[in-house]
Amino acid sequence: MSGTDNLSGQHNDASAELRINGRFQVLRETSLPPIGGAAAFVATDPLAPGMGYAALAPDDVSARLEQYEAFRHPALMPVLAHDRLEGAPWILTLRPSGPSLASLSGPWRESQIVNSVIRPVASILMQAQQLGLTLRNLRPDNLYPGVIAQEVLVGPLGITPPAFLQPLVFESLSSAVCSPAARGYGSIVDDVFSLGVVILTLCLGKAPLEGLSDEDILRRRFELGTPQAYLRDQPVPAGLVSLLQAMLSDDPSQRPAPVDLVNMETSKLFSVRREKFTRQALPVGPYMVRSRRALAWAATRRPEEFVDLLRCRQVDAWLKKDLHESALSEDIAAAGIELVRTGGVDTDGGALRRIVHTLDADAPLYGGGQWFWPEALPTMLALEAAGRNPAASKGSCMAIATQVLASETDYVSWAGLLGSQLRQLGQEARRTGQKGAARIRRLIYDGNIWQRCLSPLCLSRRLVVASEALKALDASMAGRDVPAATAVRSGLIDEQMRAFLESHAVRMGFHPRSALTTGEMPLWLQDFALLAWLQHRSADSPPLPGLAAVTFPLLNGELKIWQARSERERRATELRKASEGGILHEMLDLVVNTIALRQDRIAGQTAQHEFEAIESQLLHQKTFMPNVDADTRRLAAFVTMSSGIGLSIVSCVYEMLH
Amino acid sequence: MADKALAGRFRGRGNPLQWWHGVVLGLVVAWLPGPATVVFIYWLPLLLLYVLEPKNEGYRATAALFFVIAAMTHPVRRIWDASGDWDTCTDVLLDPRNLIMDWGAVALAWLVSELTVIGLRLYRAQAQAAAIRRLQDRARVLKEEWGFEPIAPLPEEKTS
Repeated sequence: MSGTDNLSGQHNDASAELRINGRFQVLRETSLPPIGGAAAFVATDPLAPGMGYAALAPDDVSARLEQYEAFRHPALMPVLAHDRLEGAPWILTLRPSGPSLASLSGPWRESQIVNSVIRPVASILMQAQQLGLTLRNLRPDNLYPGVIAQEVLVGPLGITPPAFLQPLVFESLSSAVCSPAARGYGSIVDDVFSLGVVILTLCLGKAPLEGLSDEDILRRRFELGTPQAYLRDQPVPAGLVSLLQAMLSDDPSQRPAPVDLVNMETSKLFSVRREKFTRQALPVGPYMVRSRRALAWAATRRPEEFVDLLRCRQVDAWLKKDLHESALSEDIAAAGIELVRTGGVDTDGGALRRIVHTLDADAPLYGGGQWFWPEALPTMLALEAAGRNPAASKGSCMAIATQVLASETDYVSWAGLLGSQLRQLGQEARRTGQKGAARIRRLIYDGNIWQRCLSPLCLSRRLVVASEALKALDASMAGRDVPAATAVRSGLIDEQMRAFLESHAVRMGFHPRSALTTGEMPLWLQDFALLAWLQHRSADSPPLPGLAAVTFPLLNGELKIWQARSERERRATELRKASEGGILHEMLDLVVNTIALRQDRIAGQTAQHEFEAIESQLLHQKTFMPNVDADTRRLAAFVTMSSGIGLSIVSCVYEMLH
Repeated sequence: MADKALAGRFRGRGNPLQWWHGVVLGLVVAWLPGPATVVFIYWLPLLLLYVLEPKNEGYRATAALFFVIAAMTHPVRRIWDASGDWDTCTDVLLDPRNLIMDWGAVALAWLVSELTVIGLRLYRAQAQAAAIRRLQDRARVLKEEWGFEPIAPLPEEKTS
């Protein structure tokens, strides 16, 4: 698994020891063969040195990890503990006592299969069904020899996206047509099918249809039906044939329930209603179609040929005459007429999707040239973003998601699993409160708290912790110079990082809209607000000097919205101080402070009014000598009169004294 | 129009000259010809001031009266001591120093009133200029702090 080589980079700075839950020490120097598709290392418990533990470093953890952790069964390798070490998820499980069943050669005996495989695994399935969970990891390389009574051990759950590592032959048709990422959690009958293939593999000593390409396998399975394709001319123990025919049935309702398998005895008989196959095949391109399911599949493989057949009324004629499905034939004929009336067919269009859904109600959704379960869309998007979905051309998942979410109203009325998954997806998308591509990107992280950050900055580090992602971001920013134009256009962080951090922040109670000030904030400032909020709210928030240094000039430029010069200068000084300390929320508060800004605006308006008043006062001010007015005259009269009276009194007194 | 207003003012005040003024004046001239002449001569500049000054500044003549009184104390005492005989009155009248004192007193009264007005106006102009300077300073401080567009330059200060 790629996790192994990803971790090699960490060995360099492996000086710090890793302890899961502060107790189980991970020995990163001693790696084990991958368990369940995840890189595995030896782990020890200092309190119980004898126990053999394995620490797993999975790339993609299932969103249901907590549920899987609570799910314990003697035949299931338990998820004993999980932890986030250095920002990456680690899972503790028991070390298997031997290599997986894939390396065991030779066919197994019937009783051995029944006792060691069918009963324990069916028991797990029954318990899982009660809990509403699915396993989706039943394949020989994920089954280990158990310690108790020779029972097999199923590898730990939740360490990959559902059914991601299942080879195509181990998946039922409704999931095999999808790319690994698009399979979804499925239902328990999908696990029953996988168990059937495991049994068959153990009987044969090799996987069925070995050596064929995936495309050929699918073609064989659709043309003959899976039981026929897998079991024909194979040396299967006679006692298991009816069981396998039931388990491998393409019709989910025909597969036995786990409860039927728990009490499995050798030579127990299962009856299966055979699926309808026509004698006369309908050729759609190179495919010889003999059943409804095969027609639906062929229609998506060769849409042009299929539409041509639909136009010539051959499809409905075949459905009616050979398959004896007159009601379906009428529906398809009506759909065909509709299709012709609207003119031509676009392979992405909803018309083909509806026809396919009518033909095969158990099939997943078809769109954008691939099959997928709607609940798996986030996983598909994640793997596409990580560049690990070679089946899909770049951006196709995004296009599919856009299409599915846009035309969501089409599906609300659809019944069954597909409809409910679509409705839930639509709800999740609405809950993000975002628009367009950002909304779809948020889907990746919102549904799965264990989704690692898919930003190229920290893809290989499997980071699921926001504060660690912040540190990685800071380290990548340190010493870099982000031109203002770039930051203004595309923000401070890449889209995946933004979606990741936003999702985590929203989980912690961040409201992007309410946290913003009036008016529209530029993207880079929104980013910065998000980073600052996260740094502030993370328990172990480290200073982020790299980010602070990069954003300082931008924030400094943003200070120009403050009108008062002294305020601006004070804030610039403090901003520099905060940026040297690497404390983002202080920087943000200095620049974006609604109340202070409003006060500044009010003071600015007051000053403007005062200034205008002074200006008009100065314009109307008379600057020459003031006029002689009544006041002047009164004062002059008083002064002159009193001086005259005083003088005359002085004169009288003087005259009297001499 | 102005004559009418003037006449109105006199009418409003009431005519200051009544018939008995003439009788009293005649009796005084008949009884005390010397002092009456002295008073008349000494009050001549007052009369001149009263006639020449703008009508709305009547206080000057009144104020000048006190100045004249101050200047007249010594001659009046001489006339009083001589019981107001004609020779003393003539002496007083013919003494140029007394006349100079008399005219000087009126001139001083006029000067004091004029200087008061000028001084007051200067003081007010000063205060106004200071107020303008204060406003300009305030405007400059506001402009530096808030960065408004520059204000129109003020006209040069003039003193009349």
